[in-house]
Amino acid sequence: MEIDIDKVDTSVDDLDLAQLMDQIRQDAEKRKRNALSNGSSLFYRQLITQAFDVLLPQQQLPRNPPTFPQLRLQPALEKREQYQLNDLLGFHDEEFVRTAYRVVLGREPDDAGLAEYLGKLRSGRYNKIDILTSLRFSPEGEKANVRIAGLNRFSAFRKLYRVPIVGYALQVAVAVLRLPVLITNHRRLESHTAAQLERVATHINEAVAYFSDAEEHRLNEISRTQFEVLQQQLEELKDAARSEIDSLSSAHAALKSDVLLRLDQLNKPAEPQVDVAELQELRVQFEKQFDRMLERLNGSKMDLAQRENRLSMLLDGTHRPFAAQLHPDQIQTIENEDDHLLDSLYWSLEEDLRGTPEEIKEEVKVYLPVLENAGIRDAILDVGCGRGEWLEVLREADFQARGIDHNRIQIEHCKSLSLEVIEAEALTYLRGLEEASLNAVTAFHFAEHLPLKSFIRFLDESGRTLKPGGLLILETPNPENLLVGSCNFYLDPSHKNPIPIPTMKLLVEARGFHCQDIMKLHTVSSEIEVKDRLTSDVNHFIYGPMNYAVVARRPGSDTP
Amino acid sequence: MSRIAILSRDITPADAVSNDVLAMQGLLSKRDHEVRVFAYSTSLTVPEIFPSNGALSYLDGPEDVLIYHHSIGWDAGVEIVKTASCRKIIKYHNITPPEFFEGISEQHVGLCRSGRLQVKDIIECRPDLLLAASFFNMADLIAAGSQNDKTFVLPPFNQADKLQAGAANFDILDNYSDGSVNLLTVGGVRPNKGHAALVEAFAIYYYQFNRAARLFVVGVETDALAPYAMILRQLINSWDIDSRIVFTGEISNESLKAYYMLADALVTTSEHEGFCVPLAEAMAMKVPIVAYASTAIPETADDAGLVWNERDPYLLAQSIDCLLANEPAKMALVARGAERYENAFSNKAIEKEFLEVTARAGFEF
Repeated sequence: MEIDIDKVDTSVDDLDLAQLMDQIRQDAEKRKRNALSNGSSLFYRQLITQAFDVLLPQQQLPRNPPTFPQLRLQPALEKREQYQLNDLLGFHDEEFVRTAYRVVLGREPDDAGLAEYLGKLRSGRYNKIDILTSLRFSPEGEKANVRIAGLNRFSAFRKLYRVPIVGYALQVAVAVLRLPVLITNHRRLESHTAAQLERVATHINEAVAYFSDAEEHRLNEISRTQFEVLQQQLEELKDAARSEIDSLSSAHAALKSDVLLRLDQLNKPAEPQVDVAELQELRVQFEKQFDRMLERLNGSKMDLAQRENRLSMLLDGTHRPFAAQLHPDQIQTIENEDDHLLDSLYWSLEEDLRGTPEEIKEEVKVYLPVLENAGIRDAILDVGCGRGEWLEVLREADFQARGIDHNRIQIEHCKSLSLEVIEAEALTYLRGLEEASLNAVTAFHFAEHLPLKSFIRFLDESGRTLKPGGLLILETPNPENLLVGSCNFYLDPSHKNPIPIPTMKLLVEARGFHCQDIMKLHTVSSEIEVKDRLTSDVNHFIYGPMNYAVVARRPGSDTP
Repeated sequence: MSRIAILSRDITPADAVSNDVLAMQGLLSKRDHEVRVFAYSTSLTVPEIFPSNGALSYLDGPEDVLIYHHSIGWDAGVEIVKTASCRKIIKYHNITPPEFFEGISEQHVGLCRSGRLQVKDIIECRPDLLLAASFFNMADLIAAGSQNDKTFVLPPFNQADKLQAGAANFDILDNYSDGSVNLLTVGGVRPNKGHAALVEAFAIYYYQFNRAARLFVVGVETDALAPYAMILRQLINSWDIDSRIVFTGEISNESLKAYYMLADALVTTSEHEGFCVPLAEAMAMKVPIVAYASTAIPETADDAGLVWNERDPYLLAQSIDCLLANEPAKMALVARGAERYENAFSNKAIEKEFLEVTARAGFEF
């Protein structure tokens, strides 16, 4: 599951990694021993994995393929003193040219020579005797002086063929006379070819059989190695199991005496584990602080009730007797005035509770880099701008922004600071804006004043008026801090409900924003030195961040 | 104004080296330099990638800069480094030892072998600056003769910030949010990733600790390494845990984000990493790390994960169990990871480091 970023508190890291890993190591050893003594089938599976390691390198193809005799359709001619012409004429095509070279010149043919004679032979311009003659009576052939019986006779005859006219007649006459011999030769060649084909087929069959045998043999080899490894490891495992059983028996005996010893100790009273004095001290501090808070809260409440009472009476007294005589427009005006009844109350509340403008200005500077990083410099709307601290900070940093607020006193104050502000109700104002017209909407300590439905509408209107990639920044009290959640939040009577971080994140994301960051802000400075889990928790829940901000982006593009 | 050419053999999506190349281009373009990426092969259309044989003619002055990313054997690439008469920066991503691929892919054996040999050739070209993705990589460079005062560590630019800011695939989230413990490993299905050890550790966790456990293996599978994937699946089958392990193949950033969001821990048993980007991604995505200490992994994870020198599957299984049971420990590790990411591995931090290191070598980026 995704880790909730809000739960991650980077300020507290008392993790001793080495200690943690030692603990894991011990636990793993225990687990391993249990698995061994349980006779778990897991171990046999582990063996398979180890066999896999053995097997893997052997999956390779054989480096040296098995040897198998090559097929030779035309056996080589042995070296002799003297050759018969027929010895040589029994070879065909390339093998003939090669054999002729070997016999007549005593060497392998060079590439050019082989190509030339093979070409002539295949085209029919030369027959085998022509080639033998040409080789034999070349300067190299004369030097080697190999005797081929019958070659002279035939070659002399072949020379006659080259005499004009007579040669041609002679060729025809010889051809006619040799016709029966040629037919016989042709038949011989036919059966020779069939026999050769048969030999090729037999050779292929033998090769196939040979290679499948070799492959089978290789596989057998692999499984034998694998088997041997398995067997060896099984033996090792048996030994391990035996010694394990021995050590378990002694451990069992030790455990038994330990249990008896502890049973004895159980009768004695237990020592208190926690430092009571420290806890007492904490509690006293806590109660004092709480009392102070309650006192202030009561004071504020009383003051508030009195002011409210006074104002209600004033309003009642003002317009009830005259209502019947007034024009509906006039009544509406008075109703609108009604909305502003608490303006001055809120103004003084903010003066009392929120902090001095200087403090607030310091605090909100934290958002400048957020805008800068998003490349936003203008079209910024601050909803609920209050006394305009944020607008001032923006102006000083050269950003273009305007603010809206419902509180006339605050608007007047902002105007006196020459800030661009408009007196308006947030939703109404946003609805009047064009779609995708803003780069950023900011609202600090605003959301908690709205009922849920209005807040949702506010989110939707912000989403509509923001450009794709535009930012929505909302700051609100953080109820995760117990004092804020239980008390400080309610110091402002116009607050509706505190919004916990997960709820805020969910609402913002549910309305289509991408939650880019949760900024936790305004941690109380006086925290207790962390000694243990208790003090760390107290720190977190009492002195932890009092406010937080959600930075959400309208999806669509990285920068507006 | 000088020109900059960034050269790498391949530019592909979902690849650590390519991400580093493209982010470098982005950074330098943003700072108003004329930058082009050259590659031998690419499947990207945006941004424009130029064929590598045009690199030399593009670089025409001694003040121009060639940045060569060395991650695989490539004769033509090394030839360009040798021939170019401009200033040169080498980014060394390390190269998997060829032995991992023996019996699986002869092509990979050849490319990795030549790639490792070429490290020496590259250093002999006397580049102005050598950047190693980690100290582990830097040791390779020094051993091959690189000078200490020209060799620095710079982690690879990465897409962790895009993962953080981008959307997640909701179908995947819905599909696997069933209360199971989800474990994640990220990286191509390649023999150096040590999947056999991971499967073994997962099986032990599954059989001994928690039957509601699932492992996502996120990473590209290629035809060339199909024999490895086949053996791996046979192994998984022999443990009888086929239904608990999900191979995702190549996925989009949206899907990757969903898997990180689902993950209770990132587990890696890789046997060779020059940096291990998934660790940085896990830190950014606040996912705790469990790993075997191998090559650059302990250096990248530092104290933000449970990293074991002993290769014992029970340790991994127990670590996962510990993270689920001990919430404060998990939070502390995740917080350390998040901090480490921000300070060392976020693109912002790497950008700063890149500018500092290059400035030290006299480059004005």
